[in-house]
Amino acid sequence: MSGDILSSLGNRAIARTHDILYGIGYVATVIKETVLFFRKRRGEAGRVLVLQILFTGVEALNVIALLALGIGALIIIQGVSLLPQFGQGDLVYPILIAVITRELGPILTAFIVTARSGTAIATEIGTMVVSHEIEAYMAFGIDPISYLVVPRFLGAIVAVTLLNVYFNIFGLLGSFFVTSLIHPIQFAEYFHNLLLRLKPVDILSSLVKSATFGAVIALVGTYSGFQVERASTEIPQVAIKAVGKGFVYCIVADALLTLVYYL
Amino acid sequence: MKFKIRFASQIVGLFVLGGLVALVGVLILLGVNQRWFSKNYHFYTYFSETHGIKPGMGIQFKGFAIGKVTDITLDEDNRVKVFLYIEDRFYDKVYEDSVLAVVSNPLGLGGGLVFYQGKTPTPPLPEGSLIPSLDFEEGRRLVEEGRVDVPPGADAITRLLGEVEPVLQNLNTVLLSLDRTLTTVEAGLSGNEGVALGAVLQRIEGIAANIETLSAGLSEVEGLVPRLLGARGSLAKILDDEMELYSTIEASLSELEAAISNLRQFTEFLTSTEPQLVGTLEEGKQAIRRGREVLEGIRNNPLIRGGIPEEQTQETLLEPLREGAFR
Repeated sequence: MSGDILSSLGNRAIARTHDILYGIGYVATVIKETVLFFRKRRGEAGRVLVLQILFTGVEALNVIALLALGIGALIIIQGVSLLPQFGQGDLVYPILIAVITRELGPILTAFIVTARSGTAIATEIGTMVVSHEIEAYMAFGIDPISYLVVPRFLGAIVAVTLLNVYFNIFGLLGSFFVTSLIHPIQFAEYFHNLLLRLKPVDILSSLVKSATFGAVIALVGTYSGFQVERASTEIPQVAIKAVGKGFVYCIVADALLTLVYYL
Repeated sequence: MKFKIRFASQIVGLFVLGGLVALVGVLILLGVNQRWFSKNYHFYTYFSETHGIKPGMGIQFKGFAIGKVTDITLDEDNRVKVFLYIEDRFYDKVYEDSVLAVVSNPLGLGGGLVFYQGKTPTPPLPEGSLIPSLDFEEGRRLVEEGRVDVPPGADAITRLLGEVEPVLQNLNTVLLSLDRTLTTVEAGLSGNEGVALGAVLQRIEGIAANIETLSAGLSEVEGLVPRLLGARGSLAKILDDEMELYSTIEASLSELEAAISNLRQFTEFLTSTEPQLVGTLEEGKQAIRRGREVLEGIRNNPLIRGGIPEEQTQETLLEPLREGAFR
């Protein structure tokens, strides 16, 4: 009995180690193929990259803009009405920068892209596996990593980074105009104070985070898609797993990058 | 083919271009606003303690941020050496005799490093020079010699305390006035003043003694009456005593008249002093009311919330007796 338990534990540990090593190997392969992607003729893979940015970035812009406007306006209204009562009215700008630029902007953008595009990528790759398209590509000598994964990987990085830039524009500037309808503020004063407190390291931190989240979303989505073996019923399961894992890995990456920022 | 798919490259190009332009634009604006490419002039100063000074803390001059603290170290003499810079657009304000000081808010809010400009316009101090602080003798001496102006603090609490001072001065004036009045009354009662109430009383006492003597003389059998009415009495002699009795009576009447005159002068003095007393009391009441308003303001708000409430004024019910008499 105890021997069965031990062997079961051992088998699970071996399988887990195998999965981790396989995952590390997968990430390394994707990074290697990404470097090669810029060296060779991109051809049809370039078209896949453009479409990936279109689906992941452009089509998510309206949701991102609405979210950023709402959060930004909320912070400004609360800050302008509450903080001056404590003689700390100027704190609204550091709070805006901390929330919109440094913390909430990248992670919220990542969550939305995970929910929209993470599932789409996993489902698409899973469907290709079930319909033997991957085998067909390989039969014709086309590397599925360089043709299918790398454009999605790069597309997600570019799209999430740019979406984060737009999130900041709408969150910091657009929300000002929304707030002006309720609580008039001098635009020149607001803009000047915001620029005085915004540091280049805030912008860098925000861009690094969003690029990392984009990479995490694409890697988790494609990896989950390739986990489908033969049945189409596996596709929704891996799609759900891709979302869950995407959220978890994004939060872990966010925690690590925030730690690096404050070191 | 769907529009989006057909023009995917153009749409994505626009999306990427918009994001990059926004990013570059923000970086350019940041550079302009935060003066990335402007020259800063570096100086240093000494403080006895850090006083909460931190690298990055702003330096204020008449409310303008003119520079920042760059570094703080402890030197061999245990003085806190503070390195700082002044922005190029304010460099020409750094006259000789300028000093630096740390100001702090009584509630612990705000405060910072403040630059006080020397009074005499001179070419700016060379870069790398020492700007003395008020923590050390050199800076304090410049203030004492009047070579630099150090105005009083202007934060909310300091202003409030500044408002209390005139109220206290008013109260002090009222108390001094009261003291003077009481001293005058006391002097009047003790006879040390020109009114000489004591002298009046002494004279009245003398008159009373005379009357007492007269009464004693009248009540005696062989006293004043027989001596007055007898054949050898004073009455008989009144025309033959070289007017001795008559002179005595006249002297007594003169003394009585002088006493009455002094009493009338004292009564007039008291009447003339009464409006001053009423005025003094009214001033005292107003000063106390202002003091109470300021304390109410302080109690209402640690951060000046609510301000000083409106108060219905009540006319004084105390009126001079003289005014009442003429109604």
